[in-house]
Amino acid sequence: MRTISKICHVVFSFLFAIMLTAYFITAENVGIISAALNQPTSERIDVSGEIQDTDYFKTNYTCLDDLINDGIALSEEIMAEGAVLLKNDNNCLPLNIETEKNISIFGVASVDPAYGGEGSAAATNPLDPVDVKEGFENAGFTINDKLYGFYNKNKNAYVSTGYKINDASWSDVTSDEKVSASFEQYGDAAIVILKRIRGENGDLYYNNPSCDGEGGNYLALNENEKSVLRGLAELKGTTFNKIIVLLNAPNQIEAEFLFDPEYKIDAALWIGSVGVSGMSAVGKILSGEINPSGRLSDTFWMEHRYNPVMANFGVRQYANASDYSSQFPTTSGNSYTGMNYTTYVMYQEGIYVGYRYAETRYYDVVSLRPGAGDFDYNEAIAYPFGYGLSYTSFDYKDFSVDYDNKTDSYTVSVTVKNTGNVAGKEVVQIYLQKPYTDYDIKNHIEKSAAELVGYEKTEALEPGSEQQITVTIKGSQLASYDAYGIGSYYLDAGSYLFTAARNSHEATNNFLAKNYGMDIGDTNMVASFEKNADPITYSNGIVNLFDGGDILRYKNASDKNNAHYISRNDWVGTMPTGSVDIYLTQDMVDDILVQNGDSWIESGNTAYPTYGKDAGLQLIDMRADNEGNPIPSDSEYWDEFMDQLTYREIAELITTGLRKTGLLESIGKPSTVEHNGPTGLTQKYGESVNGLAYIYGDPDSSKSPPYYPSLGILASTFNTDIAAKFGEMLGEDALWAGYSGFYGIGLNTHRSAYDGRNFEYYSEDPFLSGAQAAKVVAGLQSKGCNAYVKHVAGYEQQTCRVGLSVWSNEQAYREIYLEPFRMAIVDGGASNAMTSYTRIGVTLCPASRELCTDFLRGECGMDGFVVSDMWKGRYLDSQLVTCLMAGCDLPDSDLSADIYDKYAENYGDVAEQMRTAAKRILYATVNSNAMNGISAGTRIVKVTPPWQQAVIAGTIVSGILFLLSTLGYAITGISKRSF
Amino acid sequence: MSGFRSNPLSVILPLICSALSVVTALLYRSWFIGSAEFNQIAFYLMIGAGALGILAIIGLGDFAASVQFLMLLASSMFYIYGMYYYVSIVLVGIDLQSFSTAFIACSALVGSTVALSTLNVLIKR
Repeated sequence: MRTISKICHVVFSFLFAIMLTAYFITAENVGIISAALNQPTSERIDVSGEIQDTDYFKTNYTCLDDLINDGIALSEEIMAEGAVLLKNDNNCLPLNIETEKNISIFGVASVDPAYGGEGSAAATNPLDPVDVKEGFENAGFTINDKLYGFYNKNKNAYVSTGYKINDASWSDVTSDEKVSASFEQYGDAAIVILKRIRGENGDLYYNNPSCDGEGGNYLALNENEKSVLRGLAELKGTTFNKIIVLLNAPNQIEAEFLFDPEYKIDAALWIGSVGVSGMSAVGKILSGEINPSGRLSDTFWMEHRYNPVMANFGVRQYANASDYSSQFPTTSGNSYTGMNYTTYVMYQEGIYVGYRYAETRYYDVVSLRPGAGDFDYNEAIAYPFGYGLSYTSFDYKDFSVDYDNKTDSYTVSVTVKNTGNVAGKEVVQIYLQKPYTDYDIKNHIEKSAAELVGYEKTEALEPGSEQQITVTIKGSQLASYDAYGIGSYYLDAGSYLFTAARNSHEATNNFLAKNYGMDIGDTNMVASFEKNADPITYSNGIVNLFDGGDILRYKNASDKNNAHYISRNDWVGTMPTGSVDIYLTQDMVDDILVQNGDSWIESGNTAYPTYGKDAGLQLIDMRADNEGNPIPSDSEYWDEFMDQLTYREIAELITTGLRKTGLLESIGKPSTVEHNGPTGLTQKYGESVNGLAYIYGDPDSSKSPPYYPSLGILASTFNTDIAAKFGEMLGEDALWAGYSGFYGIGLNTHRSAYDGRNFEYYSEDPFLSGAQAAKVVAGLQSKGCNAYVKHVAGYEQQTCRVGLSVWSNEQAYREIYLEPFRMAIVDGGASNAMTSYTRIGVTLCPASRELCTDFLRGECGMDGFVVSDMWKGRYLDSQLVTCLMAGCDLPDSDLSADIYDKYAENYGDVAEQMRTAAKRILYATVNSNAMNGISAGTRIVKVTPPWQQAVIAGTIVSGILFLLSTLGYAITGISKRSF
Repeated sequence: MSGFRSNPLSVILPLICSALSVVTALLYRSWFIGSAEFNQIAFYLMIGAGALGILAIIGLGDFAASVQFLMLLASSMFYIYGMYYYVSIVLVGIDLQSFSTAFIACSALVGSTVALSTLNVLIKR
């Protein structure tokens, strides 16, 4: 008896302990678990009984099958227009599908290509992609099966692992005699696929011994890849007729090898990461069915060491960090990610990112500007920004620029004619040169020799046909940011030149021809305008916001710092020679630590907003007024509405943010799904009960939406129509998958090729990024899915990303790093933003009032809300209120609303900001597809999902059994003693 | 000590359990203090369970075993509660791709204390 009672006691103790723990853990994660199990946590009840049209945002589809197929087709279309033909010697391409169809494909990427990157952007259940074999065979090629089989069989041995590129060497490949013997039969062309891909939390290695790229460089070739190229070169002309390289990498591989005569490469195509069906387009490009029309969205460097950014890519620690380290918390509140306090990176290059550096330095060298030094453009640059070949050729003529004083805009017009033999599309790029004056030198304003200000892609022009292209440039695009002078946008006096060009280098040469009479450009393609100095028109009340992010202007900077920025006035004297030394001061440390708590917030303000008033308003009532007009966010109706909420309800709303916004029964606010992208939605269609897939019970609900090529390829299309289409397709996916918000307009800058998340962002050029993204945003939001621009700002690397201090000057922030965000919000209407993990100077981005409030709202007019990046495990809960007061409305985590209990009295300022944050969230929600299906008569009630009911029941039952068994064990123990 | 003579295991096992519990508690504290993974209740329960082992010496082995078992079981649950988020981070694989040595060692120790205390309850006295 005693034994039985012992065993029961042990068993039921375990059971109860496990159930009780499970209850508490699952209670903290109800949303995620319910979503995974497809069990709703709320239900909608119609109390009115009236039939109304509540499909505020409508889908164009009746089933997922059609939607998915269209998405797959779009993925192919993006690659068709975005892949860039870099090299095509002797018209190697296209291959003649009748006479050159037997091909051999080398590289383990032939069986394991880069479809997309890793991390939060990766789909949970990705659709089966069109692989290399399928893509090429569909295009009409016959693949060398023996070679393909070799790679397939040995895939695990040759795939890239960690930071090792790996791949098979030439001797590995040719060690199999059958494989070697097959080359002859499939010798029309040898295609070599070189793959590089990383993702979130992992930058690419630049000089790390654990990487097998040459010099420890992940973007250089490794010995195995070189051996294959050498081996092929030896067989060229005998076994293989042509050698073609495919760069399957969103991060630019160093391109010098493409020019190396040792390798005898005939053609090269950049394809980024290819998405679900991009390989179909690649096959068709090689066969000539598609004429490539992509133009590079980034500069292709011969070697990345020529990029001045690389001197400051990575992480430095403040030179005297050890003097202050005892003052910093040893952990961030977690034992793994660790908030960084003493690490920094300096964007010493200022505005000279990518082609802005290459073209400007080149321009100054050629024009013999003093201090330009030695810079051999052809040695450094393989292919300039905007470059791309076609299977046909185009001529430009009839270039003109007209200025309209009334609209303060310039209309640039040029006629493009197809002078080749096949149909094709051309990208007309409009570049601007601003004058670099004494005023600029005195006030440290830097000016690029050429900058992209507009573009347009032609239709597919048949041979001999022409099209007039017209691009409108705003007058404000001529202004530069004058941080050290007037502290705002400033139009310099001088000559402003416009040109229509095929790429940034051609543009620069046109400017040189115009200014210096050099016979290297086309002066017919240049128009000049004389402007007077104007410090007023474009300042628009804008003032410096980011002095705190500029180490030369930050008020608490050490005088021991040896920091400076590159200046065109003295290239030689200001080029980075190694990383910059920055020192901490006690005031800097204080500025860092004050963000970790709320000591800076004054108490005593007893003026609190109204709470709990019965106005009888539901959230749906805030969608539109009685005339059907949208209610703006600054309408007084919102005050009346917000007065209804209790303090606790507000606290819960602004602490429930793990890829969602929370449910609020009293005002009929549904919970929403706000989830990841940006190369496609990451969750399965049927995962959210809010989605049409779940509601209709679509048979394809277990599939994930299509994933698309890397966004650099989308940018390389230079096609805003495709960008709009992409946005709308994402919006459709959002309707069917139940997303009301998309963390997916990735707008950080391709500052260097080594950022692991470059596949999520568009370009090194802010205008191209912003213009494409604005269209994506508009398309997405047309389907009621709020766009989150991310990550705001200064997030151009993954290493030490949490808490990394980014030091840059305001001109670079405004003209390069923040400009894409501004365009996406102002031109595209982006509703929301996600902040970056980094710091602007010493201020965490979500804690930066200048960023979250003054810039995003004050200047850009964003009317939705700001969410942090993933909060839990990175930030301290004690930092939350500081971030709230700065204008970051919601943490991307589910935290306890108890955090705000402290502020329920004597903190009226905090209470007001809590209300503001809640209102922003409600405003964004009411204007989203989350309100589909909700009318004035709808009530939303919380329900306990079945799984949670089971957990509760199990906990109660096991608890009873535990008590009984413990009692039994105790009684048998006492009885035993009595005897 | 009569208990020791008649059934040495009924004394030794709780003492080993106590020692292991205290060692686990101290290592857990030194490795995870200040982090979100450290659960104070788990720590104090481990220490308390460690102290209870002394009761075995004065013949209250049964009682000590039972209470020690419950305390260690409870502490392991609080330990799991503290660690579950970290485990989910590793499983997602973005920030971390593998468990730390400290986590593995600590989890093994916590598991061992529970196993040992379970055995301690089940042995015949």
